[in-house]
Amino acid sequence: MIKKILSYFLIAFGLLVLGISTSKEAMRYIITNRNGNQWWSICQWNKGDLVGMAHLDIINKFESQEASSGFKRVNDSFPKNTNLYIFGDSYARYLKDFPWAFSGVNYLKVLDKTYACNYHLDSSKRNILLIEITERHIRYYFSDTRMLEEIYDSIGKKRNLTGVVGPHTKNYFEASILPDLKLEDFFNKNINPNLQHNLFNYQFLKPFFQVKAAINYYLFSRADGDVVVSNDGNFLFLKETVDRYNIVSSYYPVTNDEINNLTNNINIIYNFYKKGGFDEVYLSIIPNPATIVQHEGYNNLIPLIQNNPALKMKIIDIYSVFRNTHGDYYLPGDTHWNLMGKQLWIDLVNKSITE
Amino acid sequence: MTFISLQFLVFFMVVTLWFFRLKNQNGRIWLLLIASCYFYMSFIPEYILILGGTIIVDYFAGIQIERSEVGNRKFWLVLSIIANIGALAVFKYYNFFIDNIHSGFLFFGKPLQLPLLKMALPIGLSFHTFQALSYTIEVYRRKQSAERNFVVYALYVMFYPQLVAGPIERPQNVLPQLKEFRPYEWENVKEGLARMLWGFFKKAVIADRLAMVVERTFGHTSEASSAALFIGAVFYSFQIYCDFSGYSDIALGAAKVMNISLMENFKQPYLSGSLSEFWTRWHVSLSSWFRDYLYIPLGGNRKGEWRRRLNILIVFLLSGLWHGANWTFIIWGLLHGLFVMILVGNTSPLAGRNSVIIRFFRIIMNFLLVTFLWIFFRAENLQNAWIYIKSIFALRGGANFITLSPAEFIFSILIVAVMLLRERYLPGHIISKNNRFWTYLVSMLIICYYFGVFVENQFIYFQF
Repeated sequence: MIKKILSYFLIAFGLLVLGISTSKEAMRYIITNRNGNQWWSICQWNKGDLVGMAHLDIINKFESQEASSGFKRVNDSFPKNTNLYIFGDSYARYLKDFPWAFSGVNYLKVLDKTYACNYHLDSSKRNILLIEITERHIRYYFSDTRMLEEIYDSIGKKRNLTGVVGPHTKNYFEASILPDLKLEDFFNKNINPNLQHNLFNYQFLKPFFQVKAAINYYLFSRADGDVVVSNDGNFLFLKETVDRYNIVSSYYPVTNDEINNLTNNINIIYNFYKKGGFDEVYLSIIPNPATIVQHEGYNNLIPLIQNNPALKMKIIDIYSVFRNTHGDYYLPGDTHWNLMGKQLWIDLVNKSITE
Repeated sequence: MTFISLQFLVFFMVVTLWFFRLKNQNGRIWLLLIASCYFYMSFIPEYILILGGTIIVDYFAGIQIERSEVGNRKFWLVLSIIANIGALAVFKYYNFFIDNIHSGFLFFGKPLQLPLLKMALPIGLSFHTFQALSYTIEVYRRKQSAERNFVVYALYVMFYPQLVAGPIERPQNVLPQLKEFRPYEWENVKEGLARMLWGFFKKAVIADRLAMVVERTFGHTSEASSAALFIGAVFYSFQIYCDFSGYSDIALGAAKVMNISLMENFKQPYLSGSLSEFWTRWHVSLSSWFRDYLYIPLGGNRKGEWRRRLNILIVFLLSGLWHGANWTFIIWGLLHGLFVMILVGNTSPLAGRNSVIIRFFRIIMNFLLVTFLWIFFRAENLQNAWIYIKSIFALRGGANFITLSPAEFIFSILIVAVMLLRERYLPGHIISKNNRFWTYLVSMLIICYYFGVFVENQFIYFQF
């Protein structure tokens, strides 16, 4: 009898956990509500995102704390007539509370994790859009104007891209056989990370992960899973950024055709926003830490895009500044930059928007 | 959904427990079919339509073959073969064929642009096709009666443990087991779970660890020393064995838990003393398929020595093509065929001598030959394979990178040795005493978790 009850319980539990881990809405709810310091809360990793991913918080040399404040207050005489919009990712996170760090800025809007939004421009001001993107996302976003799709989705417009996009995008739209059935809702590609989150991501299980991380680090001199230790042993990298077979890697080959295609798609984005009323649109590509720290074999993706004569978008070039710094502006156990790196970038932005 | 994933573990738990709670076979068949559809759709959902199409054709073809007179029987068989091979030709070989036409025209200075198919190969299509063909051919040969229950037939070709990478089953083995109500048996559950854990160990602890070295040497051939390339090639031999036989162990174990016995796919192939012996121990379900449905119908060894050798060559050539639409696979198959063709029947000076030392020497020589041929299988193209082989024999210096730290390199060799010894001297998975079973279960779980390399590496044979 007990076996029978137990088996029914496990069937129900299994179905429930599979269902929850498939549902995007349920996962969003769980992730936002599992904060705190209770035993059942999510494992807390406060020493860097890569340190957290690799469970390496026992190794002090990788300890990292991403800067969320401490920026220089700009003290300039520029009239506050610029409305600055930053569409960016986690590198530009935290900046939304610091409009005073930017020169001549009257209004600052920072959108994290999206490159599109409903915007209403004040035509009496100088409206500047800055698109900040990390190197590892460039080929994803600009290979087929996915960014433009996000924009269309966000403003609720029908995707009528005739005459706007190149052949690449057309193929992308036509690739799905059954676009309206939304089969992906039943077969979530992130189900394994979601299951990992729901079944094992608990404070009380943290020691088990740490033991595995310690075995790998001390016995086999490497990090586990999606994180790798740099060749000099001083930095952690996202594995995908150093994996030569991964398109987001700093070492994955780039062809001239691809650069031209990326440039063409960036220009489409540029035209879109210029027509939308922005006075200027800037692009800033943040190098992968591996690009700077482990430069040998680099595919030169950033300079090839930035120096392409066909590129219309103005560039805020942080790559050239970082190029010979050997990682002075990056955190050892985090994908992001340190306070100095972030401040250096803000200074470059200020220089560009006040020119 | 790969076998090495949390999704599979939860899925397997639910399906197995539910399976044993159902008290009639009809319910169990429906459950397994729905579970198998979910399993397949978790890769690319839309592709189930391709499988569905061929299943419908084969189901009706089987019934018609059984009902029809002589001439019509052949018609329905041919229809089934065209439907299955046609699907394979379109989704697997069309782009390869067009690419070669492009290259041919370009060679003669007349560039040509024919449309290419822009979709990924449906996972496991080659396995599915061969299993479906075995059914209609067996019905045609009157060795199997046509299955009238559509759900049972659909489950025969979609049974989730062997759906995407075999073993390629025969209807005589699986259909009766699917139709018979088999009660829960603790001994089978123990054997199945023990075998699954052994498969997890081979995949996560050995294959994916060796893959780190293999990816490096095959990806940086021009920079690596001859020694590093040789190690990379040897490691690939063990990687592909642990990967594929690990998959088979999990498949056979998962079926065994539900009291269903699938055919053995591997019989310690690297202990073979010759290439022809190797093919009786490696991917047995495929080699026996080719023997039964191609080699023997071509005449086998009944039409003279030269015809026999030609038949061997044809079988291996098609076996290479079955593995993938790339010249590397074709050459790999062709070379295997040539070596078997040349060596079979030729008596060597060592033939007939069965001392331990001579047997050991033959095993080593055969292993090195198989390893050499795997280079074609693993390389991205023929040029890379040739450079790889040349670089090994150049005995040159260079980067001795093997990616792993010295400790992990030694650990890798040790676990390969443990795996070989265990399979040689403890080949079974039956653990009769419960205490020993639970100890084994917990130990293997701990070892797999702490020493497993959990990356998003699919099983190598999924691509076929």
